Amino acid sequence: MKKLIVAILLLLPGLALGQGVRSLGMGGVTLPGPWAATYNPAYAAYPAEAYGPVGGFSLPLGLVNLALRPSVSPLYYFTDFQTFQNNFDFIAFLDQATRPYEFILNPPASPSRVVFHVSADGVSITDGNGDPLTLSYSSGRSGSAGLPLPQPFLEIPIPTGLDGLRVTIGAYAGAGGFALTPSANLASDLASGSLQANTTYTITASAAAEAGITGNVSFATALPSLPGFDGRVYVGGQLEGFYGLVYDDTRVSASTTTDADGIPGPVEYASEIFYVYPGAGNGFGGRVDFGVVADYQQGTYGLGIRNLLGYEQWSGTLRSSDASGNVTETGKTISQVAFDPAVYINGAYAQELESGDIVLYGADAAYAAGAFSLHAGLEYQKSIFRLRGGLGYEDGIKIGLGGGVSLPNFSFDAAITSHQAPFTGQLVFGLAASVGVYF
Amino acid sequence: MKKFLLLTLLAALTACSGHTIVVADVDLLSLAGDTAGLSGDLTVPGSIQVYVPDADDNLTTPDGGYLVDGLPTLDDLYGFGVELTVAVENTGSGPLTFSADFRLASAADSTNIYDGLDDVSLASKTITLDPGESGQVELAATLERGDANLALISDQGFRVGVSLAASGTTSVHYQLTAFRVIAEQRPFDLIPPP
Repeated sequence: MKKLIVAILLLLPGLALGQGVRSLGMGGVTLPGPWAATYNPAYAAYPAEAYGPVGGFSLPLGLVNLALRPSVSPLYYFTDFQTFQNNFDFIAFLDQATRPYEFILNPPASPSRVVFHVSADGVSITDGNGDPLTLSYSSGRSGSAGLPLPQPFLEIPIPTGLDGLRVTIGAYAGAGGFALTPSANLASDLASGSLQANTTYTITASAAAEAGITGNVSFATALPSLPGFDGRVYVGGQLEGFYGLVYDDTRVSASTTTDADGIPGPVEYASEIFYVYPGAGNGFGGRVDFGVVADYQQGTYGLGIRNLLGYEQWSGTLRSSDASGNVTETGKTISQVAFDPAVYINGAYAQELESGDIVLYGADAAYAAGAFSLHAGLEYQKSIFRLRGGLGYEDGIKIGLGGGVSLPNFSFDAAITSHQAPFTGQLVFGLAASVGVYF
Repeated sequence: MKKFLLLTLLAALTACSGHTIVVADVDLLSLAGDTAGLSGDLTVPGSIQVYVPDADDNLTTPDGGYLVDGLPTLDDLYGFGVELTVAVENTGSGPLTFSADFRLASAADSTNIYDGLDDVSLASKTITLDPGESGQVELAATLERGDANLALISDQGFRVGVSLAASGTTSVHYQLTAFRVIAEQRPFDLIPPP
């Protein structure tokens, strides 16, 4: 148990990336600027001052909950076992751990009762209110081959002396991709009330993680004025390469077959783990990204396509175990030529009012590997003060409200944001804040 | 009943907290089946006693009752409950006294769960009915964590049964209309300390 909790804690830093507080206050919108070059390389050449700073240093407020709140913190297992045993909630922990830059105000709660109804008609599972439990969950990247790499957490620019050419090296790590997936018949039969006779049901848990070194070469520039177009166009391209040091793709499935009365029989387990670590394999690959941005009147509009073309290869070990407990380990190489584009579009429009105040509208949409997200929001700028609001969709509706102060050398931003909790779907509110000092 | 491990795994992953109670709600009325003597007609020249669910093909002899096993919640129970209802009709011409006594026994008590050895009476009730009158006996009992009787329940399961006794100079029709047991477990009670 102790090892499990330590392992969970070690996973924390990789579970989530911080998001600008300004963005959270606008419902998750990413405004045009160099900070959006990850999604659209043309933004690398875009002036940062056009829409102001994205925000200062995000304060990891979630660590307060993770350290102190009994329902969220697994640390009580070591310091106060009774408190841990009576209060810890895995769903609350999972929700907070994946959002370290938000202080979750109302952590989600697991159902107080899980009821197995056993009768001659079979077995069904409900919560204490008689409603079926939600059994599936997914978070982050899963089966990461072919997808865009996570944003490097340590990126060092290398001077090139050439305007628009940017070369960086860095390190990346992505953990998560956790998914719990009941087979379609298990999900539908539990939701409808009972298991069927003589039927095999399966549930699969999977998780993925990888880490390595990245090297990026990008070029972005503003094009000369185009005839007949009263605006400005920026284009950019990026070659993203990586050398992989660690890779883990784990899938564990459990299955059972019901008897003639719909009663589950013994459970059989099978697993497949493909792993790489330094000294036992490696990976490498590269991907091509492209983007274009257009300024027109008071608006800015961008289109970025990541992973336009990519190749990657991992050499490691595949460890398989079957239902009888037989374990085999074999060397394996997986490679993939990927055309799996991640599309990102965004736009912003600044409207100056007669009073001199400014209303900034922003929106973005993204599609990657079957996942779709959408955000729209606005910011009202009056003197040094900012008010923000917005709506977004990322596996569920999210709401953002925020405000801040923007001075030439200092900024402070705060936001209240919302999202839907894993498994329970509860509407959860979080508080985020950032501080910026500019020289 | 067999293993529910897959469903337990699901529940543990989706409802894993210190305040979550996992409940097995077992409808014994449907599981015991039609041959277990859950309804019948008795002639009462004096007194008669039957034991249901019948496990030895003889209603009038004590037996091991019904074995409940394989549930996902039997380790270190948080609570236990039973609800049982017997509908009774005095079908004769004389007065009737009818009583029911619910028994809980260990899984190992396979020969007689009505003798007070490795078993216990959790609830009992008696009613009297005039000729032609109908009524019902409702039994309910709960055991909370710390109750010594919970020791009868282990991960091997437990046994339940009810003895029905009728006395008078008449005849009676009885029918169990509800018979469910509830076993509760708090999964976090199973977590070992550091």
